[in-house]
Amino acid sequence: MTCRQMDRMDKIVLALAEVVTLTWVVWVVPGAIGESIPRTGNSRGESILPWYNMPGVIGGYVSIFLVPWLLVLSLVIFGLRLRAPRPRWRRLCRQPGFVACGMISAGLGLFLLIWLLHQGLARTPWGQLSPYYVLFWQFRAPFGPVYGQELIVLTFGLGLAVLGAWALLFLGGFWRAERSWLDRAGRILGAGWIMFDVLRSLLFYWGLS
Amino acid sequence: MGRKFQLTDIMIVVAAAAMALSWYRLGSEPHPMRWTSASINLQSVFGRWLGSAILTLLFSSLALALLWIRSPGLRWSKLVTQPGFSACLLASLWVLVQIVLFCLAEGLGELPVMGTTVLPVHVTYWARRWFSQSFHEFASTGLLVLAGWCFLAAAGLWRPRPTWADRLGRVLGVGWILVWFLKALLLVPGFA
Repeated sequence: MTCRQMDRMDKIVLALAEVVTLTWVVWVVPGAIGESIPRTGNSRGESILPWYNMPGVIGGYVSIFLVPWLLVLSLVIFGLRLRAPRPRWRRLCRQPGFVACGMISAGLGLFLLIWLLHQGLARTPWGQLSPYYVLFWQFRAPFGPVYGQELIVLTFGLGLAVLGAWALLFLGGFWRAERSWLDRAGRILGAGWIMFDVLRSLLFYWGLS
Repeated sequence: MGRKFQLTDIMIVVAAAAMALSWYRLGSEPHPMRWTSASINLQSVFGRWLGSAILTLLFSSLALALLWIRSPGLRWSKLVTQPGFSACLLASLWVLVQIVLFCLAEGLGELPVMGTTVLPVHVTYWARRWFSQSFHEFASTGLLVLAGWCFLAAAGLWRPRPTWADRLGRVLGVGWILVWFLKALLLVPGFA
């Protein structure tokens, strides 16, 4: 039997994760309110009232309040699932909760690597000649100097990794959900990531409709 | 896919090529304004290459997935373990998701909550909105394929077949991943 109950170590780690996440949210929100709304503008750079850019405002606030929780808890649940006792690797890879948190952890590592590559490229003469150099700064500007927000933007698209893995898991008939709090939490987080990215995609289209 | 190539298969390939060419033509038309909001477009230096690659990959994946699904006696549990098929399947699913989301967004656009923001000329028609903005989303298909392949490999389910269809599917999958990687490298942060 590899389903385990929540022990003291799990509770301590989860409590720490909640403190970290709350600190992150509290750090980001004042900056977001102070920086992003006054700069909200239309595509010609003209300042307009925030409710004229409804999809942008909804997307911004959903991101700020949701992503820190999803990200920290996904990493924590992935780590806790790897603690003994745990099922064999092959069996573990058929549990949707573990797959979701694993994809988020691996995806975040990959995204950070690409971000570092980009930082290097943007500082070369080639990077400054690229038409995307300007675009890069345009992407950064609305979010202001609050680095916590940049990390949130960096995670956009991680839900697609969960969607890709879950689609194959489900369509191939390999979906083996476990009746444990760890797998349930992983499934909720995975669904949250997918919903977030689908909503982001919807708002993206809505912003131009 | 161990069956003969049939007339219906040829029709699928021709239809996919026709759609790709018509989409490419729409994307290549000059605009009165620069596409300032669409970074992946057919007008920019990098966007031209990426846009063509996305179109080719998109319609090849759709056509190959359709040809595969038409095979008699298919078993999903075996098909999904073929990396070529899984890549085409994920690309096709993502197209369906995007079509649904675009239709929803068009419906939301009718609500009186958007104010009177003047939109750029290139997004005043629904076709323009779809053809330019969906490129952003289709460029992210590589992330789905990469995640799907990582899952297959980690779970010990990676079972490539020595058939032309699976090989072609794998090539398309690698193409999708390269497109996503290039887009991610050029547009960080905000990968997808």
